[in-house]
Amino acid sequence: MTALFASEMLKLRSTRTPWVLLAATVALSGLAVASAVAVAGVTDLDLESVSGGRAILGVSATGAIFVLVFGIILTAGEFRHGTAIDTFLTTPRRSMVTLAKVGTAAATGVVFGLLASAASLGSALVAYQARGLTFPFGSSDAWQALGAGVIYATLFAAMGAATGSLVRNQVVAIAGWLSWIAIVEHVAQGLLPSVGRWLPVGAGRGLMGGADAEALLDPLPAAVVLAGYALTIMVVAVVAERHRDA
Amino acid sequence: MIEIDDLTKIYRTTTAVDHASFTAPAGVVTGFLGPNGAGKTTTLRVLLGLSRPDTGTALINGVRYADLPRPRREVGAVLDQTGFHPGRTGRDQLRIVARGAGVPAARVDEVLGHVDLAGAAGRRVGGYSQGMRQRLALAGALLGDPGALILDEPATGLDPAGIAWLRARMRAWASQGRTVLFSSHVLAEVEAVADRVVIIDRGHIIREGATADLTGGADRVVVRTTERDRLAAAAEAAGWVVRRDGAERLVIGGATPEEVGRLAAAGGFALAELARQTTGRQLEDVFLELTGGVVGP
Repeated sequence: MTALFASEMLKLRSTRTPWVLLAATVALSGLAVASAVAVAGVTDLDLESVSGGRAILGVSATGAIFVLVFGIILTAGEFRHGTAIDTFLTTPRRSMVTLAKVGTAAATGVVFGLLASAASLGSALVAYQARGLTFPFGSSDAWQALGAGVIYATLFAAMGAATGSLVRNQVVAIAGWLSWIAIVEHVAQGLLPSVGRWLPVGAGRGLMGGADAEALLDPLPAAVVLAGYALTIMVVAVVAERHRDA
Repeated sequence: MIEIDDLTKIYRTTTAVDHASFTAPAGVVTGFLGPNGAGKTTTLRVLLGLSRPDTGTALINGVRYADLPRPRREVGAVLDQTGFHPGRTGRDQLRIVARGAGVPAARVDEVLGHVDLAGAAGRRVGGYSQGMRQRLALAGALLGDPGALILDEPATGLDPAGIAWLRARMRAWASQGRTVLFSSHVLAEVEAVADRVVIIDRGHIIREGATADLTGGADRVVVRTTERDRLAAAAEAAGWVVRRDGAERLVIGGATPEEVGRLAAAGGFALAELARQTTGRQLEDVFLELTGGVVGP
């Protein structure tokens, strides 16, 4: 398993795509936060309260779409390039391959989350200062935000990898998730918030402490719900793999 | 040793392989011959654990591929559909396999040298020619120094020098006691290198045996002598089929080179040449007769 994991990490490091996605995630997180602070005047957000600060940082969750795409590419990309055959020749037990890949995605998600959260915090500090405002976070609030960002990216990367393993087609997996986020969850959050907060993106916003925090799950149950989704998709992928040809 | 027993693979409504059985023993090169779409790749995919059989078994040294504890060390495989990430270098591609298979990293440069890719190892695979990709795939198969090699259309994309190299390598692997099984739809390819031939057509194994037996190569002997007509008369008297070919050559059917040599010695003929005829025609005849189809590169 260690060898398999090391092999997967080397796969990631040896192509450009993960690096591009990492840069995009960090850049988008920072930009989203900075622009949220800049336009906050027109909304009724109290920027100088802790909840206001959380809401601002929660905006950086936009970058999570890249984390999801990263996870999908990690697994479905092997079928796109025909490298899955080589992978299965090295490791005929496909459940091990899926586990190693979801594990690799999660581990890399930690790095994505750390850098993206750090960029968000840094960007918020600068943007607050530019507007002459005081950033309301004490160090414990900052650490909490950082931690939430890491868990968020880890779980979304794992969900992406599990989805890619199940669906195998990169374009279908990405289009499927985008439609889910833009249509299903969007409608559910608006019309049925009591259901919407239990869905992946709704739970993600609960974890990050979004603007409408009172309608969302608390961070801890939200993280558990997200982990449940990641685990469920992974188990379905492992079971489905048993009955398939490579 | 590779054993395929009663193997069937059905894709939806198409039976790609139909109760096929054959063996590829260690120490010889076995050619797996058949037209495109005959079921060669499907058979090899099942053998390598990539597809599930509907009936039967495919075993390598007595176990299924999926049950081999260290598959890369026992089996090296090149499949037609194997792909590479175009943005990855050749060396990284092999390092990934080596790491996953527990093969020492030093082995990577060693096999890159074997396939003559050492100079291109640092370049991205996207810029490789088809022949270079094929050699990279072969390098991947050799990484674990396996006792069995399973190669699906390995000559694809290779230039004549590459094909000659591959043939020599296959012969060398077999003489080291390894099991070598390769598929091809090109008769000349199989005839040039295989000790044994397994012919598949529309999912059925229609012939399996030594290449020499299938081609009947023992039946024709080419002999050259200045006393052509006298030797021809003696050969005809012995009951063999004789054809005159040019001023000094005879093509004799129905005799072995030993028998022709003995006849010449008894009659006191000086021979300038005595050889078994090895043209590709005869296996092709066998093949066309068996499959009733058209075949070619």
